[in-house]
Amino acid sequence: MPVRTITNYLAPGLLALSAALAIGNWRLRPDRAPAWAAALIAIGCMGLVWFRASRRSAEDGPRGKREDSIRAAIVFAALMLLVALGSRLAAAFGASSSPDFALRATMAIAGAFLAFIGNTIPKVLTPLASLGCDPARVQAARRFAGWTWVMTGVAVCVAWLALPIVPAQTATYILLPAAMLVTFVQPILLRTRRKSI
Amino acid sequence: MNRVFKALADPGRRRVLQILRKRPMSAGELAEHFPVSKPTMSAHFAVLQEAGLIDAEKIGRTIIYRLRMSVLEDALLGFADSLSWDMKDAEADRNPAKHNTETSRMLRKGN
Repeated sequence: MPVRTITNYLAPGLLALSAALAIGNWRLRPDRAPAWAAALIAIGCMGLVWFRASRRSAEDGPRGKREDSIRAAIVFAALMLLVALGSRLAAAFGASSSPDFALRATMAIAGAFLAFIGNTIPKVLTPLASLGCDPARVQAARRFAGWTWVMTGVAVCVAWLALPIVPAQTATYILLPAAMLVTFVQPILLRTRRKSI
Repeated sequence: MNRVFKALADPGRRRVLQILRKRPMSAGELAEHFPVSKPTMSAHFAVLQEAGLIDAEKIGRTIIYRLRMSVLEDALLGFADSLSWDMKDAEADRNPAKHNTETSRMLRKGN
């Protein structure tokens, strides 16, 4: 997936749209000005981070993988903001279809983000010389962590799209700590091993 | 993504990836698993590296290869294996002249 191509055009567009929605909300609901101001500040910060990451990514060339993941994270964050602000604006216009829509969409995007991050975990490599344990076990742990977070992300996404709110919340409360536990326990086990290469 | 599909289309390259799932290995260790010449293996490694599926790191005088596959690519590998993809053979059947040229290019690149 050409992450760079997507984030180059998508992130600024989503941030601009989110800012427009926040301003629209502010005009319609001036009583909640601090909330819209906070949203605009968050959008501004994300824009700055995206701009800096883009500049560094251009300097690093094809090696700028860390900046790419930062920019992808901004796309997901902007999507969540867009859904929340869009649903608020729709509610202000009296066009809200379901009160749970914003929550469901936001959590589904969060699940998709977890799956996206999980997908890239095995791609991140540490130089062999600086590994403190068996490279085979590190590789196995990274693959395991990647699969764990992809499955968790997909499950959270599907749960929020398909299940009623309460079971979806329960599934999220069970899945996320379980995935964290599994991911954190594996490196602890690795520490005791010596490197073989 | 095209490069990934091209890399996964060859059963030999898929076998390399499966072997590397166990642990990072040197080129020599990997070559022991295959009854092919070193240039052919080098060509396969080059295709896999170009697709970003493996990473090569020099330690002393040895090049160590290790997996650099995302979960999606890992799943694609499993999918390709279960379906026994062999697009190279299919392409060779359809267009043998083109296939031979491409193989020669890969071998030259490997050298």
